[in-house]
Amino acid sequence: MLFNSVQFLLFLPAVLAIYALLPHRGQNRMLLVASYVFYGSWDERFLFLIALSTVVDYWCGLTIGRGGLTGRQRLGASTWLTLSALCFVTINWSAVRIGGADGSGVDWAALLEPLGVWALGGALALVAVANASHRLVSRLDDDRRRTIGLWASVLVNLTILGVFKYFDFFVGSAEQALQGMGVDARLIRLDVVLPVGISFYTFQTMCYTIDVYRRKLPPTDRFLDFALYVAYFPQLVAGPIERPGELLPRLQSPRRFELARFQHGCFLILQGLFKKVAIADGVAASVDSIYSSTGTVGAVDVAAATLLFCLQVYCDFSGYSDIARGASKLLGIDLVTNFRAPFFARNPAEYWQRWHISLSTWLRDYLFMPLVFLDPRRRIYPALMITMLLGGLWHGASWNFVLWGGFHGLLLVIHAVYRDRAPRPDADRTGRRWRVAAGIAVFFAINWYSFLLFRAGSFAQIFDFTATLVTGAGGTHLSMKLPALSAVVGIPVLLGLDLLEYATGDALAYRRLPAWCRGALYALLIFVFVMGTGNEPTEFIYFQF
Amino acid sequence: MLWTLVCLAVIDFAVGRLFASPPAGVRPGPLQRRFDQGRSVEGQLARMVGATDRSSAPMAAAGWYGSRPDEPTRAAHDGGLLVAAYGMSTSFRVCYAMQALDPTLTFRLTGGPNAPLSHSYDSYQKDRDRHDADVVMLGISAWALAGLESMTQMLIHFDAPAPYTYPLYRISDGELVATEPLVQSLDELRRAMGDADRWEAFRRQLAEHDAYYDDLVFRGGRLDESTLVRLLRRGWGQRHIRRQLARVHDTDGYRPDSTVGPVARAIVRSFAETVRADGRSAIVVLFHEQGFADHLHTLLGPILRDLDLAFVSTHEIAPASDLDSFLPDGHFTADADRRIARRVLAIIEAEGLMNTETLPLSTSQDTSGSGASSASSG
Repeated sequence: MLFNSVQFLLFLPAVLAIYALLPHRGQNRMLLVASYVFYGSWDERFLFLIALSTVVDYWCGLTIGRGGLTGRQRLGASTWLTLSALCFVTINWSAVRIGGADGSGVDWAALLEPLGVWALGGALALVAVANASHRLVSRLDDDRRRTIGLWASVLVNLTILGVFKYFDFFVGSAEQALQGMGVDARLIRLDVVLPVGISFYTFQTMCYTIDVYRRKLPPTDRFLDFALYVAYFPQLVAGPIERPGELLPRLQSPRRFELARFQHGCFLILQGLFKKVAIADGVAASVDSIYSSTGTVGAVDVAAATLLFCLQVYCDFSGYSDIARGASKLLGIDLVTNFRAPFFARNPAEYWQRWHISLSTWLRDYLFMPLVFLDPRRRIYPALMITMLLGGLWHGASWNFVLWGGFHGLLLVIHAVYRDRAPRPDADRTGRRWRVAAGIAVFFAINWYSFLLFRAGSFAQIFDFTATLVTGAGGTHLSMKLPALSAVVGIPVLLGLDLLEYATGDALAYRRLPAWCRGALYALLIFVFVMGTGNEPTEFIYFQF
Repeated sequence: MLWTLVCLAVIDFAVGRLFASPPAGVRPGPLQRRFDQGRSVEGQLARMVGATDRSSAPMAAAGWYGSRPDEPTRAAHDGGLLVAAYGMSTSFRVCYAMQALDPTLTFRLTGGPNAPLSHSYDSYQKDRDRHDADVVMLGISAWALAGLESMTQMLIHFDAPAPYTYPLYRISDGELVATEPLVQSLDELRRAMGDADRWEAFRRQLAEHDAYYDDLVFRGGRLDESTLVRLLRRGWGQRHIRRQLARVHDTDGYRPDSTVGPVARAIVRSFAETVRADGRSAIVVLFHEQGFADHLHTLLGPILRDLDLAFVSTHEIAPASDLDSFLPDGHFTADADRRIARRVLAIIEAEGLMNTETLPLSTSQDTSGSGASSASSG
């Protein structure tokens, strides 16, 4: 169920209507069901992975923070995992026919999925081991128990991520490396479908356990609240990656309707739809026409397509974040800001404080900082490179993402070196403005190239397109498919909105505009969004991550 | 909220006035065309179909069988060939390129904008006794193949509707069965539009048989005057068409569960039998537009080989993934047209139909020099 689909247009008001009628506990339960329905609309089998992640981290959190679980808590978590395995992967629901023309009944031969039976067996084994070892683990001294809890969580989550996202990639890379050495190896591949949003929710659940381990957060006793924290539908598949210390208390405390928050939520949804439908979808065909072309393309084509891709990714992803935050605000729950006019950044450090903020801060707190503190010499440059390389790999199981991460790591290192050594410039106000503008332009140009690394389909294309850009091959001939009119009209509006946010430093600056001006802005966004409804819809780019 | 509604009304009105469609006979600019898209099919028909053929838009007259009465019925040059070509603009462009390569060829062109195979096949059935063509060329467009589930181009291309109609074919008990449209000429369309009962019967037929029919897109009214409503209708209509097209074709090719494949194969088989019964040679040209890789070749290549029917597939001559092969409007470039034309001429030569002395040197060179020819000659 995409945010820009008719289904979601019906789903969200239905959820809001029921939500408004329920008390706090009922709201949370309903949101949990709605979140599972939302995610299950892609593929209900992968709900089992969410349930697994939920149960493991809930269990580990309590083991770390409280020393163990009560019998009731263990029963609840065990039942949840077993039922999830049974309902989402073991039973083939298409074998159950109710009210069909050929009569109701069950096709017993096809009722059980063979792989699902294994998953059910695995879930039962896990439940048995966890319950059997519970007493033993809870008797261990504090440090050992906490360490076991932490590693169990990290191990399970990284295994899920590794199997479903990276296994085939590393096997494929190993095969290629062996073939390069003259060994014709055929290794096992899983050929599994990548579950939507797996990188987002595994990071979110892992940071819960890590925060409990670091004593920054008490473990939650309420299983259903924790399950909602993991599966909360507005941000489940593409973030923002929420910190448990922020989202869990919001979920656990009653919400009050506030008109200003509701209005802001509506604006964010409108802004997100405008970005996604009018701009991102409006330029997608232009970008694809160059990056999917097998013929020769010129430098102008590569430059223009890459520039449009910058806008496509930004509008696609920040559009998703806007809709997620907006939908959540309608429910009375604030989510973190994920983008703050990123193309106005003057340097890489500032860029990562403006682009995908929830991921960059996650990487900083849970990867970069531990790497620095693990190093006895506290060296930050290697830690920066490792963080960005892994951050690149997080984006996708492909070497071009690693290269993209490495490129940004290098930029951050160069910037850190320069910042530490360069003298503080002393200029008047006008000079400072020019320097800021020049910094924005120069960094945008450098960052623009990084999007080529991000979008390219292969290393060969990276080399080919880079060579084309360097040599200026193809002259000024533009064969790229032109962007849709909604994008042509929408891009200046987007720049205006971002400039307003950048100049005022306030994402809510639009609310201080006169009423007629705000009305004109909303009307313009609606009009351009409606113009974009004729564009070919594309799936959100970050779903694949 | 009130300001938003007021501003929306102002934008709606202002865009409507600024980019209003020009009077009949004046070609609209790209922005005028863009902001007029989404007008209901009935609204567009009312604008394009005049009281007479002369007062109607050229698009209204295109594609109906018999709309090109001056097409030659025999070869213009002694010893030359008459090629009767059935298809769409893409195949006509190849015919023009062939004629430029060999001026002794004469072409009889029958087709319509984005015409699907059903239209081309029906046109040949109607046309076969009206000319002395030696060679019959059938152009099949990968994009237009989805039109086999339609009866007219005014629904699948509701943004720029061509109202011509054609039969809807289906397979019943192994036989190709046609459902004829209630309207079969521009004149009949004009009369139907002036007769509420006849129009309703035609609309009901489309609603029942044409997979691309959508009531919201088809029916007109006062709301046609609002730019915002037109844009919304366009978005809705595009969504509907995309959903229908997705049932026929995806990134892997034509879907095996779609009826389009079996019907296309049955039409090709029937076409081959008819042409052979008429004592003519047939050539099929499979046009792969952008986004279709070699999918049409995958779908129809086996049956064409089984039938021993000569064919050319564009996917190796001008690959669908090569941007250089295409013009911005989706047609092949002149250079790609020439390359395709050379392949078709090479087949005609191989069939022994052409006086080889008339063939331009480049054609022979191209043929002999092609190691991986996509042309399969029966």
